Amino acid sequence: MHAESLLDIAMLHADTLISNAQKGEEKALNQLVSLWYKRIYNYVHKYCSDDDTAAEIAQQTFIAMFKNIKKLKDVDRFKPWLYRIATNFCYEESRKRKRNRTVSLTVTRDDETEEQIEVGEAEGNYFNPERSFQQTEIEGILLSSLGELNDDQRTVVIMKEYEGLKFTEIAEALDASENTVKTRLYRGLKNLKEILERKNITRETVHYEL
Amino acid sequence: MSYKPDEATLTSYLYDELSKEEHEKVKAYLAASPEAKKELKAIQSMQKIMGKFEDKEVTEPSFVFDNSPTVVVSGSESNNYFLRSTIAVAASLSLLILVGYFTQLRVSTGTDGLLLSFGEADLQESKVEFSEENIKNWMEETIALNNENLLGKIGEVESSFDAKTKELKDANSGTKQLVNYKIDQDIIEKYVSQITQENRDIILNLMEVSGRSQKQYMDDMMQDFAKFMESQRQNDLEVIQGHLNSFVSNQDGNQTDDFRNSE
Repeated sequence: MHAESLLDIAMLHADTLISNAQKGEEKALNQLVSLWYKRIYNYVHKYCSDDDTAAEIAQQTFIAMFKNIKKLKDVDRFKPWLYRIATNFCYEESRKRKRNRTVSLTVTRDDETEEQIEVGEAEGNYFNPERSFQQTEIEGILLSSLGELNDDQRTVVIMKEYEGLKFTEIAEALDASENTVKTRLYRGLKNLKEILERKNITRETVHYEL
Repeated sequence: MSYKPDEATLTSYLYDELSKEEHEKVKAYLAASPEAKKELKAIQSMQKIMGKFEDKEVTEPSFVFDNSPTVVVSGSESNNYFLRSTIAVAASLSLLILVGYFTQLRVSTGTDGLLLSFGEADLQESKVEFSEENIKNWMEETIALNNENLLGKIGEVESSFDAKTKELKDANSGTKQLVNYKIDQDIIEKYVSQITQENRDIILNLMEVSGRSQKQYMDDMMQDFAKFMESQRQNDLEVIQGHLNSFVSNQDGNQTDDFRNSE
């Protein structure tokens, strides 16, 4: 709710804020960060499945925003422009990982799950540890399943399903046609469905668990 | 049915972004194609599962930048970055000055260049001329001093050598005396006979003492034996006497009985 209201404010005042930020107003720039940091962080987090990398890329995104915001000609295109910056950093990170053949960071999910359970147990009578565990487990499975998609499909799926971008905005962010975006999205969703079915995650099993 | 929507159209159908006409066409296609309909429904179900992924709550970091937005510094406590940097530099300089004061650091320049020193300045500039004559004199003085030291050391070594030689000579003469000493045969014989005599006396004394004590022991033993035999004999006599008495009394008793019987 809080995030939505912040985004509403951002949508309402985006033009003024961005114009002021382009003039170099520190306050406007920091307000933009406040409005968009959570969205960009969560977008990157779903892409790379790692907290530290997400924080680092989100930070790099906003530093790049500060440096280049004057180059943004149309303030209405701020949102796809910002996602484009973040996506470029995500692709760069993805290339680095492939080059370095690093171990998938999703491996750490189990540890995180355990930690979250421990924290949750101390929260009080209203906390349901079993439900929290299942929620965390499903989130972990969804993250790892998204990670199995190729970069293009993953980006489109996250942008549409979780970030709620319009097809035109996604197309602009990825510098592709709307048709291409839709095709990638359909294939991405289809592949994701198959991955989840393979992991025995269907609507029925999820409803049973939650 | 020849119409088959492409993936992009199906995506638009999923997100309800088709025109009414196109929407109907896709709907009709799905009604005629159960496989496609099933797939699309599965995707819609999966979209609902995806909706279970909640956003993470995060705190945005603060960013500090100068008037030009091209220079950006990020960090959680970076608002006071410039102030902190200035204070840090000032503190470092103050510390350096303080250390310099307490260590009495002195920086001076002279003909030899820049000089850094701690404590009281004790710089004596050498004003000696490096002329050929001076150098020759220094060398002669040094050589003379060196020779003097060398002669002294040689003298010490010589005296030490003499002392050692004398000591060795004395030791050598002592050895010769020992070598020239002849063992006297008479002394040995005398010594041996003395030992033999002593041994004989010891053995004789031992024999005498032993014989005396043995004789004493034998005498004691014989006396004891005689006493024993005497006491034994006395006992035997008493026993015999006892038996004779009892025999006599028995005999008297029998005679009396015979007499009574005869009467």
